Amino acid sequence: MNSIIVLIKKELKIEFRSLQGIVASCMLSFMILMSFKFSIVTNSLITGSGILWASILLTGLGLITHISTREVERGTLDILKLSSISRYQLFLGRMFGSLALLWVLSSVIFVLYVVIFENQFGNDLFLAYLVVLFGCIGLSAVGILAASSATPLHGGWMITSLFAIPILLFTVIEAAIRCTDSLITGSSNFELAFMLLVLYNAVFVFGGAWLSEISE
Amino acid sequence: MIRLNSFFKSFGSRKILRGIDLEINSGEIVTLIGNNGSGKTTLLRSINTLDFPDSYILAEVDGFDLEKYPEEVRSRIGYLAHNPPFYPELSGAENLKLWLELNSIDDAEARARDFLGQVGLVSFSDDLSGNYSRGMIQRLGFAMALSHSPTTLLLDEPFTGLDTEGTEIISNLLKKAKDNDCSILLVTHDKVTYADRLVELVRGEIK
Repeated sequence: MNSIIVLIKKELKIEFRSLQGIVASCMLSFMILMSFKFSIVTNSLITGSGILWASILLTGLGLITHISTREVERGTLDILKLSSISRYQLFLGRMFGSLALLWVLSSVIFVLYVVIFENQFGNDLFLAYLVVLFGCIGLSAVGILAASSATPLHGGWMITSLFAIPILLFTVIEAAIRCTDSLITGSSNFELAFMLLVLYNAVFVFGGAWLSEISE
Repeated sequence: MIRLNSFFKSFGSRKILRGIDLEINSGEIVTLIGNNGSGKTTLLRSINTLDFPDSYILAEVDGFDLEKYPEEVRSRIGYLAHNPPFYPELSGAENLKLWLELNSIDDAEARARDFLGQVGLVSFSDDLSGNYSRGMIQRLGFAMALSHSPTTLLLDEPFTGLDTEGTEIISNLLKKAKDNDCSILLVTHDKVTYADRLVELVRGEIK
């Protein structure tokens, strides 16, 4: 547990000193949201939360890929691999480190979304924010797993997204959209969709840790 | 103590290490020489579990098999890479502290500063490692290799970029590690007078 906390602190310290990934990702998400705002005129599309999750998925994966690629290109991943921590701890440490940054990014995206698209969640704003934070867990787990497999390859930056987007789209993102959509429409599907989201998260986190451990 | 018997490693169809037999006892310094591409760095990376061998009859560090007990092996090895990687956004002390914390060493902050002092970096310990010169990076790398009290040292060109003072400091620390029964495998093109043995790697085989 201690080594996981050490890795989370390391990730936060490095990112907030360089601000390389988080600022670029926030700017990109702002541009994505503004593009949707001015390009979509059909009300039915705007009243869904797909735009929010598209923005989180694209910029979030970009951020995770940036963090992983940076670690591999600098050779600092070797430092982590050389330490006496097990591979599952390394996966969880990197995953939760990315998750902490993803939470910062998704909080910014959520605020921008609420402002730009005139708070569609009404009184369920806090619940919607909670769903966003939960959705980031699966995104981070799949992102780190895909980045670990792809970054050593040529063009790994692109391949990470190619690996991760199809997996995430039909699992975590779909469940998350169902959750936030049900908050907008007031339907009773929220609990079922939220349970599904938690289940997907658990599968990806434990699956990722297990795969990392057996990969050695 | 390192024991390798019939140790093979290849990358794709290219055979890098061809049946290495090598034994390094506690308190012994062995210098490994060889031409570029002869497999010296691959051998070090395979022993420290960053790469895994294709096959072997025996591959142990202090009696721990490389593939069966990789965490035990890693905790016993201090490794200095040819170009030691560090986080440039962290200071020398922070980089070293991170390493010690990952290895569950108590009082990491004080220990990190102590080792930075031993390699002559105490006045630069709070400077970002991204601003370090090549020689300072090498000293920091050496501090990292030693700081978690390993029983085995694998050093890839440890004297690269060092000035006379730095070379002397590292040499003294190596002799001290030898006196503390550390097994040391040293890849270098420099002459190391205090080494016990010299082995040559030629196209993946020990001559």
